[in-house]
Amino acid sequence: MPSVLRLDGVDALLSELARLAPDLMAETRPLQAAIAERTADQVRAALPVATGALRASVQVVRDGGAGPARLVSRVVVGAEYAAFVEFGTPFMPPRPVFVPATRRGREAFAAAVIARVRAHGLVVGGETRDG
Amino acid sequence: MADTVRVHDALVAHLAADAALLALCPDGVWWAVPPQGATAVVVVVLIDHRDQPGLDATTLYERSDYLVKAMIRMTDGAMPQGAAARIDELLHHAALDLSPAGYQAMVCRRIEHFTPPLTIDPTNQARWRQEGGRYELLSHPTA
Repeated sequence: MPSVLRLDGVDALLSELARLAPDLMAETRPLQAAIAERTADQVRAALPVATGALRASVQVVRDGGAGPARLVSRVVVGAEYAAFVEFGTPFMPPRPVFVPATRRGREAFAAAVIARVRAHGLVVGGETRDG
Repeated sequence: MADTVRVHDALVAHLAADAALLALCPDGVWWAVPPQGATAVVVVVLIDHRDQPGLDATTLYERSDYLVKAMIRMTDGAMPQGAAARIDELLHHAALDLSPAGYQAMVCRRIEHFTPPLTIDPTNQARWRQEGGRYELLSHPTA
């Protein structure tokens, strides 16, 4: 006997999500920008300073992405030796700063988006990758 | 009571107990910084850590992000690939025994390969190769 999986309401859900997308983009764009800037500030504050070049190389890069529903901000440490500072070398101890700060930033953004989706009356369950 | 440091120690001990890894890195397995004079060594670094608290005073689980890397001074053509592969065999989806630390391992898996460029010590021009990975360990306290 064949098994049958029947899903009701998929069209209605997709329609609801499509209606939500523009509002959500407008609401979350400034949120993401603020969280990215805050994350960059936290990275700058925690990095060791010798010449100031490492700290000065921290910047936020915004990328609209290919699709209309993509919103991307990247925190970039541009100094070539940034990974050596983060992960250490045989003669320099590690100073992990970037990985934990950006993880906290991703968690904060995910929580903010979930709060706004819930404010629109939709239910969000499960757990995000970072939280 | 959860004592995460004991999990770190257990991870280092797990690696240090492997004869094959020590044959490739005879200067041993160290936390964060290798000892002076080492030429072939494994180093474990805590990159990130977070707790998932429960509703009461308990910790449901902890997520630790470790960088585990072999560091080889290039004096006789030795390269770190073999040691990095052995590290992966010992950690990636391995059943870690954390019971002496009072924890139960949930999963340990590699989340990123780590192979930075050649590193040259500015004080003596020694050339070093590093290779390993970032490993995510999820565990929960049993006590």
